[in-house]
Amino acid sequence: MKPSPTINIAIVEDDPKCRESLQALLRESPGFQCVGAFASGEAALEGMARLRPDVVLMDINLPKMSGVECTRQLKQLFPKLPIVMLTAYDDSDRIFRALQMGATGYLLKRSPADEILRAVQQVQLGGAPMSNYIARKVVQSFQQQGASDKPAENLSKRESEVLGYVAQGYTNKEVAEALGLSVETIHAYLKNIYTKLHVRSRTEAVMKFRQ
Amino acid sequence: MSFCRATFSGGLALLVGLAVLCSWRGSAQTSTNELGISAAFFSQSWQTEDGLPNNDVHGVVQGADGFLWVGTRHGLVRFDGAHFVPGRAEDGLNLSQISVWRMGANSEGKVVAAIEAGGVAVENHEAFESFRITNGLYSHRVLHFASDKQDRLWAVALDGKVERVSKGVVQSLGAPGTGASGPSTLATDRDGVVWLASKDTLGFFQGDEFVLVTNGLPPPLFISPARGGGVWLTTAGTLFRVEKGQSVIKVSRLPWLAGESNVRDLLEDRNGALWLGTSRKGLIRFNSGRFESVATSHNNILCLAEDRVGNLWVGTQGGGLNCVRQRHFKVLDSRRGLPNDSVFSFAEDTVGRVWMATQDGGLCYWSNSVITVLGEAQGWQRVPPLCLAADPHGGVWIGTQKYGLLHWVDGRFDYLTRDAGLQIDLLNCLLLDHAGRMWAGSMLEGLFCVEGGRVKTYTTKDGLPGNGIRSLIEDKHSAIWVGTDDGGLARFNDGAFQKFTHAHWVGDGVRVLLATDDDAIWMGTVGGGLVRFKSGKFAQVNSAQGLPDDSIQELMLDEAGWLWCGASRGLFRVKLNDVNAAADGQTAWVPALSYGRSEGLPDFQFNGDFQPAACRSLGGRFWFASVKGAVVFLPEAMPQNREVPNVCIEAVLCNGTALKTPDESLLPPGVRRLEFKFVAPDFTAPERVRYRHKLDDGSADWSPVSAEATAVYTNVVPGRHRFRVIACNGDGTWNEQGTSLKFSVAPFFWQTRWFVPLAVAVGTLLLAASVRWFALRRLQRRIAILEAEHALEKERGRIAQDIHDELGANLNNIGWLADLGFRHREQPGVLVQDLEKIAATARQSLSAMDAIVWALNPRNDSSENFVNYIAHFANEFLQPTGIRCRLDIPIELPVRPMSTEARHHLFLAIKEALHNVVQHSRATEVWVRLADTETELRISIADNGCGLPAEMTRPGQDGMDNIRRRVEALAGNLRVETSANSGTSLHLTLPWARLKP
Repeated sequence: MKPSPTINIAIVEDDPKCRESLQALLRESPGFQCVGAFASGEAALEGMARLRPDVVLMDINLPKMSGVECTRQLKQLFPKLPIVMLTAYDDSDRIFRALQMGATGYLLKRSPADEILRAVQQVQLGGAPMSNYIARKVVQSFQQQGASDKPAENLSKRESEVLGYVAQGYTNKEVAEALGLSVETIHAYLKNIYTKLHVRSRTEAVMKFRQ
Repeated sequence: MSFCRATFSGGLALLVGLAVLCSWRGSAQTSTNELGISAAFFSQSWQTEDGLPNNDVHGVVQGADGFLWVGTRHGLVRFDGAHFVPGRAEDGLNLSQISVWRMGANSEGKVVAAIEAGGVAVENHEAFESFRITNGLYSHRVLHFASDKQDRLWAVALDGKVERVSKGVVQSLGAPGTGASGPSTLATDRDGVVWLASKDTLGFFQGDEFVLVTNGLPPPLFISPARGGGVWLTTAGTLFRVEKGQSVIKVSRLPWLAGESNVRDLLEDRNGALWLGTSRKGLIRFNSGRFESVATSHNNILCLAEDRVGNLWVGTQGGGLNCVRQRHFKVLDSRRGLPNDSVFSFAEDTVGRVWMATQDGGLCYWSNSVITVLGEAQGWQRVPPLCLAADPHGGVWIGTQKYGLLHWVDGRFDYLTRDAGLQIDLLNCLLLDHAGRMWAGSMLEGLFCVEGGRVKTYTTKDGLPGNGIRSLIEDKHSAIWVGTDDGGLARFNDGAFQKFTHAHWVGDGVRVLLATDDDAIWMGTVGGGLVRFKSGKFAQVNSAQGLPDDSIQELMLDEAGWLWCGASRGLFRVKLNDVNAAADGQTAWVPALSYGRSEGLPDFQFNGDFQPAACRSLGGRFWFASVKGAVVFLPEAMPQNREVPNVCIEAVLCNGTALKTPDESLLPPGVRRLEFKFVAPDFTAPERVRYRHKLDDGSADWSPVSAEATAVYTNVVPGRHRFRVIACNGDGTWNEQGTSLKFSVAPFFWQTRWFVPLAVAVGTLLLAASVRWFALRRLQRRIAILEAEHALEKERGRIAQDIHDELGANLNNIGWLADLGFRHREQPGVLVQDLEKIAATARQSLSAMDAIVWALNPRNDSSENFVNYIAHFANEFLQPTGIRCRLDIPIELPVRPMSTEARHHLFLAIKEALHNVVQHSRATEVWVRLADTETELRISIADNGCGLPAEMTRPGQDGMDNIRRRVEALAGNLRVETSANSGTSLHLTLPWARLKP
């Protein structure tokens, strides 16, 4: 792993003890810096511009404004800001909705602290963490809603292949080996898939709005 | 010899009259004081036992409706020919009680009755309208009255005063003439002149003036209108005719009144005969200058009246009501000189003698109204004669019992068959044909023919249908027809018999044959009515087609085409054309005229066992054999009543209750039995009045002709109806118009037109409503199930949320604290802090889990458990913080059920409130208070701290909002009081209704 500058992280977490523990963890981990912690989505929207973090860790289960909604609004304000969802359970519906809203990836809270930090690093480097069942959901999404009118929104053959492998439980590395591509390329594909997923979501939102 | 009621007691003067009359009064016919009794009339009478209210009949008059009104000394009744019915009257006049003095009709034909109590009553439709003459006549009996052409009623009272009533206004004309009181009569003549005879004075009125014609006449005077003009007048001994402006004409002396009798009433009938009703001398008829007495039930006559068909009605004092009619039938019986009442056969010989064979060996002949009975002096051995035939040479053939056939000629009897060696039991019939052959039919031995002194016998072997020969006739083609006992018919022609048998009519056999000009042979049968044989075919006409009797014994055809039938139950006649039409199937009904009681022929059984049993004598008289004598009449002289009878509906009974106003009435629903009573008055032959009726013109046919004067209909359907009845009089003259009555029957509600659509509509609505109701019920059940499912889901969601919120976050935190501790592994001081945090978080998680499990446990679903738990929790929660927990909870609270949800929300709300106290209040004491009203649970948590921090009192703050949300989820109310000096109080008010499961 190449040495890299400190990653500035902002936390959105309603439980004060968890927020405190997470802050402490980041503080104690070299290369990571917690630039801010918000107890609610509303507070995050208010204070995010000031903090300019590299990555946001967003609890998906927030009172009042949900993490999904907060993600949507943050992505409108800062389209390039990577947001990683933190969730206590594999609530795939909510995770998927968050991904549609522009979340870059997601992490389980029960994951070991090092794993969380690694994922944040990956995201910061342009990666797109995705588990196999989320991948299946993404495939379903493209199949169910059918081909979009805009060709760009449809997955390319290669993207479909990547997604297919991921859905079968292949790790990014295994997918890269299977396709004879580099892991970075796989990451790029996945990122592209996410983008298209967001586009679909937004286009639909716009279309619904127009209706 | 006395007169009895309903008799025919006038003598047959032609036959025996003189002798009888001589014995009757014991005085000579030459006496001027005695009168002969007319045989041309007979009377029928009705007395109290027939329904007449009293036997003193003071007035009789026929009303416009055809009924006869009879006024007696004790009651006024209506008579229809059969029944006396009390007249209906308006208030104040009891017709069954009043005493009538005289009756008549006004110029409109309405019935007027002078009432003994005073005044007169005039018929008003069906009721008598009572109006009384005032001005002094009120208390006096109206003796006599007459109405003039101006419809004014003239009345003369006992005191001789005359009153005139016009349109209800009474005008007194005083007492004209001598003014003496006494019997007075009024009469309006043909020209409308009103005459008055009072005591000894006769005169007429000219305007209001009385014009004296004559006086000094021997009273009492009696006047009556004369058809030729003026009036008839009787005095104590003379009959006059008086016309206005002419001298008084003396018509006849009345010596037989002899000072002991008075004329009580006077009437000139339609034939111009004058009838005198007298006291003591009975009814006298004056015609063609001759007076004769006509027998009635009593010799004291009170009043006379003629009905529209010419019957004379006679009211007597003590003898009731009489109807006098001309006699058309003569009956020769043993009282008139016959050897026996039961006559078998007739034969008229060449000199006009009518021979008669009677029962018990009687043989006689009638000649010039004299009956001569043959005896041993005439060589008659009284062998039983059965049937007779006359020969053209003056002789008479006699068929006998046991003695065979006899021939009487020139006073000698020849025993033809006996002498020929033939033993014959009964000879039923004889015929002498035009060829001079003597035919004799026997009961058992077949048919005998005597020709040229030789006797030839024919039986079934010779082609006869039977050996019991009943009737023999010769047709115009000289063929001999034979009717047999077993119903067979045969023709003898050219020496041979041809049989005609027919099994289609019911009857014992042929009794009599009759050949008509149209080559038909008519058979009178026993039980089968009339059977016609024509052109090889038989046709039957019987009682089903209107014949009064099915046992036809004797047949005669008169010049006018009437077929006279002597039957087992009397005599009747039918038009041959009508019978032919019925036999041809063209008509279903044969009008028949029958004769019985009304013609003086009661219970006459006509006997055709031996033929010929009827014959026509010189002069056209018909002779019919009957068990009560020989019935003799001139068929051409027989009258026929052509007066169309009026028919009245008398009463209508609906389900047994008489309707008060039957016409156009609306009957209630459910007419099970509707009975119409009607009557057609007939006085000539009321027993022969017939009715037909029908309900509704379109739907029903006329009922069969019936004597029943009642029609009964059952279960009359709702709607409009018209009942019609028509009637015929005793001589078959129909009133085809009849009378009708309209009425309506109301329907039951389920019989109405709108009921079915309404029922369908209501049914459809009900069905729709019930379908909808069931659908709604199903929907409600499904909603309830869904709600239950939803509640379960909600509960599961809530539990998941609780576990996530309460435990998940803590466990995550423990994980992260452990990770942090790993990083601090080189720094034991910091590591200890991490470990302490881990321990605290783990205990906190246990406590949270305890609360969740407690809330889930259904055993804790009561207020008592809740309160205990809260108390326990508050103590435990506050103990580590050093804040004193004070509880203000009643020792005994009513035990109420509490749902898991309610306990959960309330517990968390209280927990959060206590948490807030610990976090922000800096208090030293907390009061937890619970109170139970009947409807609400009140909880308050109050501290003595510094009040809520500024950020928490702003709306939208977390802590208080959570509590409010939970309280509001239970439909409760949260009130917060906070101040920096006195701390914070939370007041939760929760309705029990929402807390129970």
